[in-house]
Amino acid sequence: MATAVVEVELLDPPARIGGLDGYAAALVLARLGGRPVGQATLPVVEGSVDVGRVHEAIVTDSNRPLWDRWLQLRLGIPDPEPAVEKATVAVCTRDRPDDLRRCLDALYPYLEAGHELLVVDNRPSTRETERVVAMYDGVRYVREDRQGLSAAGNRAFREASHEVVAFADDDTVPDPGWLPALLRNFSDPLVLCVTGLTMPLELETEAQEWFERYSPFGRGFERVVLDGTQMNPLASWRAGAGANMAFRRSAVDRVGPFEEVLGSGTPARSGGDHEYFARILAAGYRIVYEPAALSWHRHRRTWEELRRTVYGYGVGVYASWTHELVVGREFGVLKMACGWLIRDQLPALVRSLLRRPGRVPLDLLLAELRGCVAGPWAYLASRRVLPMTGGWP
Amino acid sequence: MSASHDRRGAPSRATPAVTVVIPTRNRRASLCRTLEALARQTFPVSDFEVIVAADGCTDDTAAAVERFDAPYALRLVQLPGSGAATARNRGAAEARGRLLLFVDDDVEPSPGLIAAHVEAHGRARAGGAGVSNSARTDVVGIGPCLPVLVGRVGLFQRKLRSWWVSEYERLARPGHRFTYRDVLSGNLSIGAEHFRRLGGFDTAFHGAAEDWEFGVRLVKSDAELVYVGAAVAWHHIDLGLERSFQRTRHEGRADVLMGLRHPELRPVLPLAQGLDAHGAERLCRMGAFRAPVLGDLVVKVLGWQLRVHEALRMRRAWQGLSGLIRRYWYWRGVAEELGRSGSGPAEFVAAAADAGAPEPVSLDVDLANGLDVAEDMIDLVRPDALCLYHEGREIGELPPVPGAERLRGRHLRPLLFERFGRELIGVLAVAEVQGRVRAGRHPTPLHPEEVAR
Repeated sequence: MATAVVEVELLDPPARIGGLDGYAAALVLARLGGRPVGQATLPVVEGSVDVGRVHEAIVTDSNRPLWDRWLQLRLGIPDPEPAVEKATVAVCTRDRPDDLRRCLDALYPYLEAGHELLVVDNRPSTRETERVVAMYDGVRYVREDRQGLSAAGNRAFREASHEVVAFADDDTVPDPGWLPALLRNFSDPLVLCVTGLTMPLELETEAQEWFERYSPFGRGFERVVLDGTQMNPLASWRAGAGANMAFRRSAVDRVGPFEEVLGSGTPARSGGDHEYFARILAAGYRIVYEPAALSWHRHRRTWEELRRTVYGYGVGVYASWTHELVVGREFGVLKMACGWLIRDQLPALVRSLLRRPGRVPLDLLLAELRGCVAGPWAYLASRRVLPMTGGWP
Repeated sequence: MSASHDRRGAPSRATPAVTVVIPTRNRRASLCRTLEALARQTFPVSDFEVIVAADGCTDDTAAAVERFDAPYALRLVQLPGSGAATARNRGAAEARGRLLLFVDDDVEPSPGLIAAHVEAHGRARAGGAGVSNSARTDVVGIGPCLPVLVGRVGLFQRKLRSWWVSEYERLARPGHRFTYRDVLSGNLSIGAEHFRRLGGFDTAFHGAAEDWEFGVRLVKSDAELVYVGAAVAWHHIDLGLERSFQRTRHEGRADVLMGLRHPELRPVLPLAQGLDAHGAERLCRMGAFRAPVLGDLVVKVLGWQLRVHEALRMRRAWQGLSGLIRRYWYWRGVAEELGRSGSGPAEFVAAAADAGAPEPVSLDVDLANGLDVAEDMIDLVRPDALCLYHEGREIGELPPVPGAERLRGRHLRPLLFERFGRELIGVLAVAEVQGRVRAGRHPTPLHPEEVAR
């Protein structure tokens, strides 16, 4: 049975979260003063979730983000002012008019607030996307015929009118506070990128539930500043996900554009975002993970799509690692690949084969492993057909 | 042995509002960039003058200043190579402006820099928001010098850039409590009268830490230190690792001088840290004190090792090793200076106990009376240390910090958040939650009125 996705504001909670008939469980996102501070998956009893259970699960001694926020409100310490007033919000899309419409509905208030909205249509097979965008007055439409999400992202950098470009995936629904929360973090001149918290929009199918369990986009509820001079820049997965991120446009001058050999829509299938994060960190700049910048992502609904996605992630991770090894002479990727295999992938495979409780479905694990094996070859295939754009510091 | 020369004759006003003092040595191109940036200021050019204190220049700096076609009054003072502190003092002595603005020769001011400093002093003097209630003439403006890397960019330069940016980020935080180490002379404004009253920079410090020493006297005199975030300047950094190690050696020497001038600071100087450490740190110190010839040789070899680490992108190994080499050079500097007095670092630090510093003022604050009341009380007493309570229950203690400004009300909330967060949550939140649960009320521990209180 499906899992409902609901929210609760702890400053003013209802006694029960109702209207959940037909769901076995609910993923509850808790906010405090508007700020996401925790999540819990709880059983639905007679169509509702008892808020007392939410408290038991989220208002715990160890929930530091919650208590930090509480103390901030209690001491009357204001949030920092956004360092950047206006930004360009770019949506890179390809043949997903329904998702795009929902995304633009969520983003449209930003246009009315004076920000720029830009849709980059990547190699469309129909004119449907253009027709959708035409329904939104003031939204700019740009068609990019070079292949891949990275090429579309680079086009957005070139087209943007503002210094900060926030990227929302077409299958996301950004929260009203999303953009201001991202922009608050650009006062630090070394911050070239800010990523946000991405939560599932719906968990209606088993495939969506497994995506959220196996490969969630969220990186927790604590704000983290990643400084490339203080950490291993290759551990860029800590930064979050490309579905919800913003960059200074000057990042292109300082560390180069997105690597067009990598990413969705290329033989490498994904990894363009994480390679860019790693490059920013390797050049000694900073990335902020800001959980207040909340966005909701519609995970793939069918099992076949999920398996393809997981395979694609495996390919993308190994393709970007190959790139970092070959172009960046980053020998540390070998250690990371071994670590991932020994610490995570093999134990998960063993648990799955032994049919232990809580195991990951075997076909997902195998899809990921097959992707990993294919990754380096996919990278080489990509290099043969596409020009390299990024380089390495 | 110095010459003063006004290359533009009489300026349009008898006394300009601001005098910009730039000490320089053999950096003609960089200095010209600074002079050009000063020509693009939003502040009226007739209201400021610029004095270049050329100290021991052997390139054509003097000729370049002579030739420079400045829209503002530009004067050149030449010194025989007496050090940056002397050069700054000399520039200040020649100044006619009421406000002195020290700018380094590798610093490129943004167009709004002078205006931002002037505005900060005006605001502070008028007792504007967040500064002070009384009119003050002892305001000191510290502007950011944001790093721009030139020349070779490697792991060291990136770390240095990150360090500088973090320093200014710290100063920019609301309610920051300044210490003497926040006083940086690359982009610093101070009333001319105030500067003279304090006796200027200590010329015994040759090229390292003279601004920090000046900072100690500023903090002791309870000057109003203000971070002027809008006074942006870009610091063009062209510094290699080897040269930076030699700077660290100078810092070691300067720290000993600092400890001699201000004995109460000895326990917080870097030379007081790790005195009982074992292993590599201890080896560094012993090498620097007892076998510097061998030590220099070893760190030279280790320097080659660093290059290998960097080429192989072994960042963590590089960081550990370069940190160790830096510690060695720091101790070398300390040993050179202390060697003259014949004492070791432990004796040097221990001798601070009978320094005769004034007894620190401590204040007991009960937060249950409200944060506004607590802030007012701190502003009234200006204590060095705090004991925090809530309804008589102790939350924590903030000991006196040598070299830090006396506490102000505005320091309280950030201090509570950063230093006493856990304790406060324990005392406030848990008590409130338990109280409400026992009273059988709504299960939420987080209620709007309480938060708004």
